[in-house]
Amino acid sequence: MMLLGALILLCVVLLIGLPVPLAFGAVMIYLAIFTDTDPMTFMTSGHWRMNNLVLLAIPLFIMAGSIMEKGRIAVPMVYLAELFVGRVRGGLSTAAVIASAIFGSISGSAAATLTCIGSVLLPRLRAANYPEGFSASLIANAAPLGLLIPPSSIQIIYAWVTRQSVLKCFLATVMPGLILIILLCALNLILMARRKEIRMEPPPETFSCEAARRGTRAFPALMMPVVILGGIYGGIMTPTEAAGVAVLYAIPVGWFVYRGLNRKTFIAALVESGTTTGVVMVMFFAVMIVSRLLIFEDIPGLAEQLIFSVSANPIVALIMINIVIVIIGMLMDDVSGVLLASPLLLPIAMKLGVDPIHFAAIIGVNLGMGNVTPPTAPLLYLGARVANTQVNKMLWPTTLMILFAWLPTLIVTTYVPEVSLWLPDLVLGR
Amino acid sequence: MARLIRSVVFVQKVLLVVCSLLIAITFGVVVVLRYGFQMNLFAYEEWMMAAAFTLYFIGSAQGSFDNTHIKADLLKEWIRSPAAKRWVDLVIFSLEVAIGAVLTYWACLMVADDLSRYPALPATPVYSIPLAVPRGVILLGFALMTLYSAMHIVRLLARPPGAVTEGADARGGAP
Repeated sequence: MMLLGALILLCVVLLIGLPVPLAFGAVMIYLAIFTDTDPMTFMTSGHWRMNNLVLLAIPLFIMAGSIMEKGRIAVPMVYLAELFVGRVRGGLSTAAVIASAIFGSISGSAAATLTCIGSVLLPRLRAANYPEGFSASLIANAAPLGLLIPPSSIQIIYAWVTRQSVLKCFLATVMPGLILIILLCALNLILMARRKEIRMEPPPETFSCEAARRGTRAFPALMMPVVILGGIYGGIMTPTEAAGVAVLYAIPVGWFVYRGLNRKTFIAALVESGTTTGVVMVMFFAVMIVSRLLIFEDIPGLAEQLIFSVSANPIVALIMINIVIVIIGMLMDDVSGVLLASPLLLPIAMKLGVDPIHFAAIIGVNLGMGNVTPPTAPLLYLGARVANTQVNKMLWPTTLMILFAWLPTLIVTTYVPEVSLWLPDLVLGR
Repeated sequence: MARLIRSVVFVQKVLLVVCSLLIAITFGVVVVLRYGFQMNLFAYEEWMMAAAFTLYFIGSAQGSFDNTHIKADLLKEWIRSPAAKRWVDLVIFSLEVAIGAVLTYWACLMVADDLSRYPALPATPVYSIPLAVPRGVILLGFALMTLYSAMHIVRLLARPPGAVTEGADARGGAP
């Protein structure tokens, strides 16, 4: 009963609009009053949990994303993608999906991907007569590719919480990410095929010359994923070091090559990313403390009893786990979601025979979908802000994308473990 | 008061820039030393974590100042009346102050507990950085978050009823 009260309190304070860290702070106060826990230990346990070098990858990737955004590093990538797919109806929007995937492979953040790709492509999509709500919705739905294509901040957190290999967790979400790219592109091409009002880019005089020109221009930007992923999987750098190197690489590229950075924008990028880091990490601090308290109160055991009392059938139990994670994803952001869902649900999933690396992919896809699933849908609201449109114009296209891209990806990821395990096993061995 | 808050916010921004650069450059140096000179940067994690906690908690205070903390804001999506929205904002900021005050008090107890062990302060093993440093930043972060929530209440009350009360509107500038 006491724990049910904590859950209800959390939902209420989240729904009225209290910031996530303080919503968890309210739960801490509630638990301090109604359990025997000494509140003195809350802060020290939060400090010790966060006193970890691995977690520094998160602020560093946020910093890299912010510098890339201000440094206009995404622009040449978009132009290059546009050259290949811009001459069919739906081509420019397909470029948005592909550019989101490439950008996601550098920034590791859905919000940075959405802001950066959205600010570059949405004006071009509008000028080409693409429906406003659809364009904003497509980019908001493609932005979580930043969570699925490595490096991914939430996979770093998942690996850290569940003590799994970060590299394996990174690779587990690659295939689901590729499936999602294909489904989003296919759905987009089908929906846009009959839109006669869409203007297409005129073909270049000589394709190869244009490809070489745009490719050369995009080369320094395209080297970023090579440096980051090559460094990590070549065994040269840890993910945290790679994130630091990504920042140091992005600064001269954004400053001298693409000339988006100057003293003012550089400082603005650092202040902005520092603020985002603070917002994310204090949320992390609060969620970790509450998650630890819930584990002490045996919430995983209770959740297990609840799920198995409905059905012991693995298929049904996995559906229920997915529903719980989607609800968590709808109520809170991806970082809080992975912090709360991983320790609570992984033991149940393991009892059902799910590999922890496979569960990393399930959580990744679920939380990505939760980010665009109303009512909370933080990426949908951010997308509306970036596109300067109304959220209700985005609802129907988003529903279609959830039904025909996200849900199939989630089902395949959940029930075909090979989709997420094949690549980690191939690259890193069992 | 306004001048003081502006000065504090300026210092916050300076700390965010310095800590961000310090952390990124250190990781770059670690990689260069390892592969260029076959050397390790000894015990860098000790001072790096102090910089990290400063970045985390001062960044969070800046987030409170800008009112950019992640929130669902569902209730305000449903409410149409500006007066009702103002009341909701007032309730939310009041709750933020109340919860922030409790968290600040707990952080205060933690730091006081550390300092009570003087002269045998708990510290890192190599550079002897007292644990009270990162923990003091946690305390400072929560205290500033509470202060800025209180500042938003003052600003809200000073504003005529019916004025726009969206989160972004609260950004920048002291009351």
